[in-house]
Amino acid sequence: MNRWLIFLVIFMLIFSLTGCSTSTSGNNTDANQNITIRIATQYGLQYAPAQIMEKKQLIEKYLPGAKIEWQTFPSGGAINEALAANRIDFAFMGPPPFLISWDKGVKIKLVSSVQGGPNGIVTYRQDIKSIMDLKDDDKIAMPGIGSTQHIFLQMESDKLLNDPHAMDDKILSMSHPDAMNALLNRQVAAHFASAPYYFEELSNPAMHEVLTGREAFGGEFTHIFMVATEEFHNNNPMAYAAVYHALVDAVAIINEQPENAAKILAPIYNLSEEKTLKYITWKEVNYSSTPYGLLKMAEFMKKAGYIKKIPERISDIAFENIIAQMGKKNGEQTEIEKLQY
Amino acid sequence: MVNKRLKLNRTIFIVMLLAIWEITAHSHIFPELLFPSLESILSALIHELEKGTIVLQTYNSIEMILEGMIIGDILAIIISVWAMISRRINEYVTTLVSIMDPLPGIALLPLAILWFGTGRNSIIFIIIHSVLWPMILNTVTGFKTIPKIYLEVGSNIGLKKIKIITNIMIPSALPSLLTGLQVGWSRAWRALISAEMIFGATGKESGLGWYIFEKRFMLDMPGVFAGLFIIVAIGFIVETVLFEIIEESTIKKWGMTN
Amino acid sequence: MECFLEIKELCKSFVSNGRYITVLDKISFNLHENDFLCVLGPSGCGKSTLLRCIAGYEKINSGKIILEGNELTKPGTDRMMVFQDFNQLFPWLTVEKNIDYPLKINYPKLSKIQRKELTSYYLELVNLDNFKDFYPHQLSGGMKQRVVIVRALSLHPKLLLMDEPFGSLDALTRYKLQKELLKIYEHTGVTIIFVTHNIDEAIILSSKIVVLSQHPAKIIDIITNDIEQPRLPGTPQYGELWNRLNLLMGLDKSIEESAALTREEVI
Ligand SMILES: Nc1ncnc2c1ncn2[C@@H]1O[C@H](COP(=O)(O)OP(=O)(O)O)[C@@H](O)[C@H]1O
Ligand SMILES: [Mg+2]
Repeated sequence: MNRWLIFLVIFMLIFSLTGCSTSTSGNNTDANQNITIRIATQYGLQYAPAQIMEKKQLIEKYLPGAKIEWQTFPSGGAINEALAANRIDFAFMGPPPFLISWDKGVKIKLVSSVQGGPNGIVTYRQDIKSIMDLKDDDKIAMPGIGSTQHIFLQMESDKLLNDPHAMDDKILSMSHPDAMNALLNRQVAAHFASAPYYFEELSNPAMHEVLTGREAFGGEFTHIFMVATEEFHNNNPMAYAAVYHALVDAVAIINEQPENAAKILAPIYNLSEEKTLKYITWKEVNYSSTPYGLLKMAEFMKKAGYIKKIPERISDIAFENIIAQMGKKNGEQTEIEKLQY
Repeated sequence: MVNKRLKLNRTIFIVMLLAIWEITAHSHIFPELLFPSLESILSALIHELEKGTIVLQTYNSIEMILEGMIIGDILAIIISVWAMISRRINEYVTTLVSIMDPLPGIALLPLAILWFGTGRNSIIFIIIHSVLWPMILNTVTGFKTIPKIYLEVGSNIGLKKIKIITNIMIPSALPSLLTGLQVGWSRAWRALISAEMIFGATGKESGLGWYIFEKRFMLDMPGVFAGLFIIVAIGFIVETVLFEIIEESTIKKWGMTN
Repeated sequence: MECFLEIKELCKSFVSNGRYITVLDKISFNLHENDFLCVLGPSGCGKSTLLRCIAGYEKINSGKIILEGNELTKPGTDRMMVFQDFNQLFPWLTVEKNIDYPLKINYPKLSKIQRKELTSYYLELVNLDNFKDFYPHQLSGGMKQRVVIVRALSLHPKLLLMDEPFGSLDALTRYKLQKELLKIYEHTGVTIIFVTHNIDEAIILSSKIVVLSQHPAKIIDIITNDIEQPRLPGTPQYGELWNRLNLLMGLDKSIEESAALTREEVI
């Protein structure tokens, strides 16, 4: 029995040690000089502002001496776990994982929109004109459940068949590059692609489009947001402001000096500068700090069973800078507020 | 008696682990969201079983694993027999095993998609990869350590090549073959789960890997652990019941264990 | 006159560490049907090698092995081998199946019932019918060797080749098995080549003894042993043959010392 006791004690020790190391940052205000900011991003040109912030050291411009830890995550799901474990302060992610996290009670809110880009279902099959033409064995490749693409497919399926989940069987989960390969080799009937794969596929004359994300969603939408933990936001107003403003700078650089941005991004993505420039300035690609379609997304996700509650006010899910951006008019919604539905 | 005591010890050990888990969960050292209590895992499990899709997904997983294991193990035995024929082939096979065995199946996913397209077949390919090499390794070792005398007695009593393989080499090497099967079984599960997490069919064709991926995405940790529990339970049953029965009725009965 | 078994100028060498080692050097002898030949020689002289050549397990370098006019090159059921190793029964088959299986392979026309009868006949021959459902690992060494002997006999070999089959047994069991083997030999009339390094064993069992020398093995002498059964160490013929063999093998213990030892072992 003694051995068991020792075993138990060691176990508890290990557990509590790992528990202690969770929250290291975010404890103080005027020690901004030594602050560590942990930011999670993902790989892809949708996240270009993150890479511009990192390479041009835009946060450091506002917060000299700050230590920025950039971490690249494979998916929004993985970022959610890191947020729940308080391992990161800021994250770049799509609306669905953000809303799921928020719904589960993780204390995070939106800092800013990052990018909105076109996407759509591309197929080589002449017989497929609408998602209703997909046969039993036909699959649509897309990056996993709860991806923005998946939600769009469910919206369309809800419209056409009155059941958001009617097309769930048709999904084959894989990353965009794998999916593009599979489509070009005709191993999968269709691919719900986002830029730049979307453009690459459509530039092939054998391919055509079945449905665009914009059609499915019924308007403009934000593809990528930046979020922050409430803890970090509340404890480090200076650092929060610095990160937000660095993002705004990065978005402005991409929009105002795309050649410059392409020069920074090209080596990261192993693309030529021309191609990078083409991708970040393609039709309908919009790097912007203004959110679109936020509440519509939330309402649909509740309907489809992803989340149990929807935000009552924008301040439930967003920090003050977004609230200010939305504006407020007595008696009617502002133009930006209207764009959220 | 000894057996009973071992079983009791094992039960105590498991209970201890569960207790540590429960204490840790309730102490809130970790966010509840990521470290759920046993009650919430249990109720998630019951909920999922009532809903039924997890049963289908478990069935699909087991089916894929069995399919991959049967193909992979038969292939492994054929290759191992072939490797017995000549030194040179043996050399090639051993080299191939030492190159391929450490390769994670996931690394082969692009090739799998190229050769087998998307979906089930590629996952089965990854499972075959994960069971094939350890099985060859164990089978070749098993064949190499067959007492020469059995082969000599075999040829003396008039057995021809094929009969020597099926009726002498395979039963003689059975302890190693069973080890190979056991290693393959756990590797197959890992391969399945990770393959499905990267690349999975949804709906009717999906397996437990997909289920866990889905629950993870939804930050539904009790659901994730309910899935893990099912995997652990299946593994436990297969290891301690199925393999035990096989061993009891073969190598243990024949006195071929040490 | 044509002989039953004829070994002509048999040479066998091994390559070991890049060197040729000649083990058997021009071995020649003849055997009649129903002979019980003991091959006697010091350990490591090449007795097993000789037997393995006859069994067809080893490729010979030169010379000929002719059985009833046919030259032998590969293993066959006309020569059944019994090794010293206790583990020559298949552990995954019961005692009964160990005998049944070779019958099934070699006499496919026999029915299941016929095979069962045969199996039981052979097991009764060595008093092991009660153990037919046992697995080999549940038997003692002596029991295993008895099963191996009847397994070999069941295939009606022309030659029974035995390589120190009782070498690992305790003295008492060895003595019992020797008696049992003699009984079987008389009963079946099978021709036997029996390898041993034990002089007493050779005297007790054989009708003919081939004595081999050490390195490389050459035939020193071929002796006909016609001492009447039962062959007891006390008799003068026994002692005479013993001393002769002892001298041939270059050992210098006297019969008295050794006989005392043997008796002690038996008791
Ligand atoms: N396969 C082999 N390769 C090399 N040398 C061998 C081989 N088999 C036997 N020998 C050698 O031949 C000699 C005779 O061996 P063996 O016939 O087993 O002797 P015995 O049975 O009389 O004790 C020994 O020196 C042994 O080392
Ligand atoms: Mg020997």
